[in-house]
Amino acid sequence: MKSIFAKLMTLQLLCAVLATAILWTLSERSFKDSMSSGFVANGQTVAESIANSVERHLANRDLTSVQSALDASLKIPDVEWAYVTAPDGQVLADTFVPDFPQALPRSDTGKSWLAIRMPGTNKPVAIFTHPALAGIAGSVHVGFSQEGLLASMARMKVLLLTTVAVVIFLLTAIVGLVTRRVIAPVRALTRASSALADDLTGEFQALPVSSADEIGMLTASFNRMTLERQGYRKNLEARVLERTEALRENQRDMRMILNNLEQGLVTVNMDGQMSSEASRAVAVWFGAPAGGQNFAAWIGQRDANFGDWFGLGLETMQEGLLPAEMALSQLPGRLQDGGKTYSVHYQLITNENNEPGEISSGECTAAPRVPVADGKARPEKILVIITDITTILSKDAAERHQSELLQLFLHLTHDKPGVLEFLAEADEIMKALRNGQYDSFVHRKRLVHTLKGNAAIFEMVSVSTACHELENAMAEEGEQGLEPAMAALNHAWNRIRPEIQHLIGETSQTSIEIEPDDYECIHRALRDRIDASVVTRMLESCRLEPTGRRLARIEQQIMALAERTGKSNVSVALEPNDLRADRSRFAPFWSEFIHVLRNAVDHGIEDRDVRLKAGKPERPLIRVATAIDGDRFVVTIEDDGPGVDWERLLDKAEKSGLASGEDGAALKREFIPGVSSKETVTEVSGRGIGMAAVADACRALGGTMDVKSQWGAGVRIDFRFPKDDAVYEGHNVTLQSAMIPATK
Amino acid sequence: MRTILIVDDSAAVRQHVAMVLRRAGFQLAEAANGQEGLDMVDSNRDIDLVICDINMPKMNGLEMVEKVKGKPENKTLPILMLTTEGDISLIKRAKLAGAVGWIVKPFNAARLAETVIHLIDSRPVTG
Repeated sequence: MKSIFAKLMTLQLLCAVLATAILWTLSERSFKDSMSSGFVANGQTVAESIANSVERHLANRDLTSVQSALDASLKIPDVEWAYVTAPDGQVLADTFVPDFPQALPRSDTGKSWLAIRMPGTNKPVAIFTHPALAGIAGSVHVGFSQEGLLASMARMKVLLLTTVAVVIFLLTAIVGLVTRRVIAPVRALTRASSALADDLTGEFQALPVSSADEIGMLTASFNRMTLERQGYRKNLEARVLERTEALRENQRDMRMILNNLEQGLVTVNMDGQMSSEASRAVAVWFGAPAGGQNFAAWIGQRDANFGDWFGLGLETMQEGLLPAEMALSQLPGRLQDGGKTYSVHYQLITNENNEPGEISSGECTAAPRVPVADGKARPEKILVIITDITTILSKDAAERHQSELLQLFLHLTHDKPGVLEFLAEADEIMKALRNGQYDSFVHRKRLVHTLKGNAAIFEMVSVSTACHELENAMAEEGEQGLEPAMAALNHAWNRIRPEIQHLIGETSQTSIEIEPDDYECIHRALRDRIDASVVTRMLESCRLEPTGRRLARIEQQIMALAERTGKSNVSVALEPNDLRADRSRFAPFWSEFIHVLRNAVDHGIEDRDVRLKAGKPERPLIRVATAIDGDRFVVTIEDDGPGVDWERLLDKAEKSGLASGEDGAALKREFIPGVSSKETVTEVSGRGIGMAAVADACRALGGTMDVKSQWGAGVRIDFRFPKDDAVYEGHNVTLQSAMIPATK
Repeated sequence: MRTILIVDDSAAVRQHVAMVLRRAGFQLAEAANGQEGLDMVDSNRDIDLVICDINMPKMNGLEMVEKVKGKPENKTLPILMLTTEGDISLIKRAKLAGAVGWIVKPFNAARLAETVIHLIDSRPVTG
């Protein structure tokens, strides 16, 4: 860098050199002139005096005296030689030894003096010539050595030059000092600003202001600006530190939360790329996420199906045709990986809810929201929340399983034959379903529906749920693609079936239970010697099931159904009339009878307000009876509910293309598969399959079904079967029929 | 009144969808298979949106979507597939054929109505 000082000093030096040169030139000329004129005057005086002293001798032609005078002149300082010439130029006398140098230039008489170099010695000599007797007698020539003159001139020059130089340089030094002092504040300013530029964070000390001139003002301004800037910087640094610390603290907290969270959290942008920030659980379960990688592909390495669904769902979101929430709800919810099951939830992060929260410093204000053209929140990212539910699922499954077993055990203690019958029938249904032993798709649906109903009655939830799922699949998928649902049912059945067997034991079905009353009656008949055929009939009846026990089971079923549909205040009236019926023969009918019960509970009970308005008792009543009517064994179920809305049922049957519209076929329509009078499908009923199934079962036993209903006045259904050996009217009737009184 | 066509071979599903959408103020048309659905779309120009099952007798949902979307006048007619979370390839095919999206059964009634309203409101106006 060339400093101002250096520049000024260079300029100063140049000026000094120039001044020295000018002074030198001027003074040297004047010195030279004055010295030369002194020398010339002296020379002329000496030449004149010699001329004067030899004039007389020349006039007298006394050349010896002339010679003496010339010789005497050699004593005069600086006189080198002298000679005298005649007017014709002939040398008359000279002081040269040994001879007059002929090469010596002659002085022109026109000039008073002449500077020459002596031939041979080359000494500088000035020749002064003076005429003697105005030139008549000749001229006197004196050679003066110029060496002294030149030497003293040289000395004078050196002295002069030295003096001028010293003065000039002294002046320069003084100017330099003054300049240095003047520009010292500028240098200080420069240094300070350079230091500041090199290290912006350095501490700045105010510069001294030593004058009120421009530099002083500049320094003062600089001080003010820099101190103010330093103040800002310090303030800023403090704030940055504070914010950094707060952010770090937040980040630490966030990391701590993410590291200790049991859930996996990761965000995915709308292009499907995930962030590298994720909770530790994600890395532990699926490996460290690579930021910017496609989430569907990444997670698809673990569960390809999940990855596919996620990709498709995201594509739908990107298209933006479906509402974002809807599209979000269709992203896959279950993830399977390495024998573990994860539930996956999603949360949409929009430009409105992704702004950072207030940092605890309190000074931070939320950044201005990004304005959205249409004023709607724009989805920016999806927060994926993954939870490992393997343990919960297996625990739940185990608990459900235990609970199912417990319920079955309770049913066994109350109604062992009922459970055994259910199991026998369920085994048959499962066998048929597994082996494809059904006549049609409708038959297949019926089998599933029956199993579902019966399993529900015995609170075998896993089986009834699997049946419900299979029914759903059948309704939606048709006959194809039922394998997963069927496999689930198989799994549920195979899981619980062996355990029930364990509970009931292998020999349970071979014993016959005789009630104490029966025992007493038969014993009395034998004791009274009643006809053996009658006693045999009485004994055989022990193999038949008292309908009272069947009806008691039905009551339980009604109560269970009512509880599940929230109609638990129902009353049940049972009228078994001491009858018995063959268990195995009527089993298919009783099995399908569950549909009638479900209809009665689900359709035959109105809301409390509706009942009260219609003038009915608050508590709904369902009556179930078995009776003998002539040669018919009649099973009756009656409710005091709203009855059947034939119009609506007809309408539905016609719409479905399942009914021809004949008026007299109204009853049949109730039992046409696929039509139900319910608007919605519930778990209990509403698929329109059950009633047709029970009608079929009734017909299969040679029975008829009679439905009486009036809109608003309840439903009564009578199932009439032929009264044969499969039905027993009770010991009293048997004894009476033998014309023998039962009691004494 | 806006008309929605629901094509499903299950009467129960049709009823359920119809009930949900009637409550939301729509008029419903029903078809029990793809062929019926196609005929209804052809004969009724007032249909604003189609909800369509995939597995159906006579003509399945995919075939129906392909046929409906094959006609230029139906280009902007939104079709929503009704499906279970079973076969992703069927849905991909349906989307490729021009279905706007799918609804997984069992579905949330409010969300179904909301989706249908959204789709009808955002349907481009055709000349």
